[in-house]
Amino acid sequence: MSGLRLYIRSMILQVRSSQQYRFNYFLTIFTVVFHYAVQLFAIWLTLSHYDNIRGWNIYEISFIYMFFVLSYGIMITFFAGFRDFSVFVRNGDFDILLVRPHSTLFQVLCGRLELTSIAQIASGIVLFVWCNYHLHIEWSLKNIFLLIQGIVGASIIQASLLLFWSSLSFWIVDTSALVRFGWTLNSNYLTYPIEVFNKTAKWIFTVFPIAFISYYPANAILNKDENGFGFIGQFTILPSILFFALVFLFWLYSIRHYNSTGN
Amino acid sequence: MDIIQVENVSKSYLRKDQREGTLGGLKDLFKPVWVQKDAVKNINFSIKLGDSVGYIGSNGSGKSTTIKMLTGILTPTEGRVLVNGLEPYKDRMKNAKNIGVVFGQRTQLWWDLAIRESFELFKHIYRVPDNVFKLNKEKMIELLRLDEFYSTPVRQLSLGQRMRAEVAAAFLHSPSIVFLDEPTIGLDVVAKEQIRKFLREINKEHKTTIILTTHDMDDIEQVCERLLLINSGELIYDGFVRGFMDDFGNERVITVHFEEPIQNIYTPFGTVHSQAGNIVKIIFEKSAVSAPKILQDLSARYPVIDFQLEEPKIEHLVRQVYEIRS
Amino acid sequence: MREISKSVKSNLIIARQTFLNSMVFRTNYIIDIVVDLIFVLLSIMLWTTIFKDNPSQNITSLATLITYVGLTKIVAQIDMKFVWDIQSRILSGEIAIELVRPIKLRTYLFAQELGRYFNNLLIKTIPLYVLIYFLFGIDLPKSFSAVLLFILSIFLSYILLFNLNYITALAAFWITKLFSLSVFKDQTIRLLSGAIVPLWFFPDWLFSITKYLPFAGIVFLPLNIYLGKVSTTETIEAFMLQIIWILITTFIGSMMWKKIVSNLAINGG
Repeated sequence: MSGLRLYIRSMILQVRSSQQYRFNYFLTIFTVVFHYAVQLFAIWLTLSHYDNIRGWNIYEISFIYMFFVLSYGIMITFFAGFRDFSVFVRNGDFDILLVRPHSTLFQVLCGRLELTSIAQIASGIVLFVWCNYHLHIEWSLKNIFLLIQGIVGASIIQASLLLFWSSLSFWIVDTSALVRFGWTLNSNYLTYPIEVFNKTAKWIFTVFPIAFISYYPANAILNKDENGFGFIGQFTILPSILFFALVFLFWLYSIRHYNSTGN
Repeated sequence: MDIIQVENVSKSYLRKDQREGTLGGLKDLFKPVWVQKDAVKNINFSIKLGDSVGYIGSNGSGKSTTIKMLTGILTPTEGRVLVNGLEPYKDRMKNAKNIGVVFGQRTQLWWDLAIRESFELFKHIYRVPDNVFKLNKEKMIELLRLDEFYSTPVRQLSLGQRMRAEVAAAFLHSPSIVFLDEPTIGLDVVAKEQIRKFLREINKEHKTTIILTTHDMDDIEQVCERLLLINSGELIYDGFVRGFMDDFGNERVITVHFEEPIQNIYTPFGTVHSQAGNIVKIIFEKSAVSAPKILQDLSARYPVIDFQLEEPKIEHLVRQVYEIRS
Repeated sequence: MREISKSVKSNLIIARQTFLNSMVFRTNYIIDIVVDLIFVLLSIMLWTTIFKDNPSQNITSLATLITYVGLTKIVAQIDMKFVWDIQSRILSGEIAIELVRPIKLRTYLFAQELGRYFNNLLIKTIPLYVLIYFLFGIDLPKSFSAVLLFILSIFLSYILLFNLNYITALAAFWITKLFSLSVFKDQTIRLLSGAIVPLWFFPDWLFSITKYLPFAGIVFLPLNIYLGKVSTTETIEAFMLQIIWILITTFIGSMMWKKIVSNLAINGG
């Protein structure tokens, strides 16, 4: 419980110190929203020429996109400390964590609260409302459950991915390119129905469960799936927890490796 | 009672060797060659509760590697380290409760916050009881004169002020051992004095064990009773500062600038080490004669313009220890 | 002119040495190449699927579309490193040194960046092109004149991109943190240059606007020249337009620079 108190204290201090950078804060929010708007506009352009992509229309694809944006916003609020982790290790700041009486993962989480995530979260909600209005989704108990499970599972997978890249920082020096790669992959490619890719790619994105961030949860609710494989979207939480567990073990293993080889 | 025991400890790394040229670069990519680097070779020492120990060595000597093993950051390749009865790399969090660390080059304070708030956070990180924290905090503020800038954000502090706060922070949770890694680097003389005085007092009053790594021999002289000297991974001296200074730390070098080159320059108080134009380096023994005395003698007979007093360099002392041992 | 070529050469040498002697650099290099190839592969998959699903709505042939998508990444190198160098130098105050040089800042930056560009061309762009050709079977340019015009188009678009980046970098004198402006610039250029979606698919109203903006010349124009889809008249017209935009952006850049210098003289930085 004292861990929780420590965490909350850290968060309060973060909020207080960030108030000094107010202008930048709002500018960043605007930038994030602009970025997503351009992305969606591009999809809209494609779909204004071609009617649909694999039978998915603009609202359905935006619905996939919504899962990515919302889960990223939720995740990055708490996991922002892992975004620039390889720089953190390279500077020697990680060593300081090893000298304190708390788990390193916990300390990294305490270290940073990302308040600009309101941009992603608000964008996600707006997208949700917009899509829902055009798609007339029936919000049965099952669909509500799938929505919540989808968002929670997606957030867990996004966090695990970031933790994975951070663990790699103990093996290779600069993982910031990989962090960008993961984000671009999820944002620009996996927000399309995975049927656009070939079988091998589909398998890779399912087993390395990044397709469970956006596509599978969306598909589970919209039931767009013809080949019957999409039913696994109804169990998003399982691969997400399994993925997190595996990545966490890798994280611990990587720290042990760091203890042997140093900086 | 031994609070730290280092038993037959060695630390080796495997590093990739970098070959030259385009072809070498390609070879590195596909068939890398691993080279073993021995950072620490079979060192042994022990430290008692309340000791103040200086740990010196040149860059690449294995000094930081040893400290990292003592603080639980690195695991020894061979041998065992015991701190407060625990192996720090095995019981990391448990050991961390009882130690404090000051990194000279990196800050542990929160950049945008006032010292007051950083200290509060430390209280929660180490779960210090309220009354103990209040006592320690006030003692730190008093001894290191932190009240002048206690409410200023860390980023607005000078290096000297910041280091005083950093050092204070390490003691807030009443650790039994505090490791300080180059705490006086880049500081002016006044700030150095404050920190040295503080460390002396804390060590004397609270019996906090102090392990200090530094490149500044004056730090050692003023703070530490014991001295460990490491070079190329080997411990080449384990003894007392008093004795060491008497044996090895006695030499000083004074560089004197004259108006013009002097032929056959001579002083009874020291030996001429080198001469380049009108700049002369003279070695003398600190215990036998003071710098002002030499200058007095020289300026009586030659036209002196300026002078510089050099502190003994670690490399110089290390070389001396080596020479004696072989 | 001699200053520029000397600077370009020295930067080229520095870049080459870094590449050969830095393992970190080399690891990043491999990651970059692999990542680029993965994205090209996925893009081609995506557009091929869209193409095959909607036979009636296709404007070009599949081969043309694949070639376009395959080459976009290579051609659309929008962000330039010097922008971030300038930002950090302004924050640290080191910019003062740059301002005291006998060579104009703009010329100096241009030479530096050109050196990087050529180095990048040699070690990344050209190998990437070869790999993409063999892995994805893109078309080769239709004719020799197409190759020459393509190179000329890339050259013009490079100057234009440099100008746009230069304006962004100068903005750091006012707004210090360039992240937002940079994202805004990059995304706008990527969208309107045809890097995200080929301009063929733009609705008429948008295309007629985009045609006159400077961005189409950065990706859409060179790729169309490569694909042989632009007539000679159209090419000349497009080049004229680009040159006009280059002049405009050069003018804006030098106006900003004059303002900065006069501000510094008054306030002392």
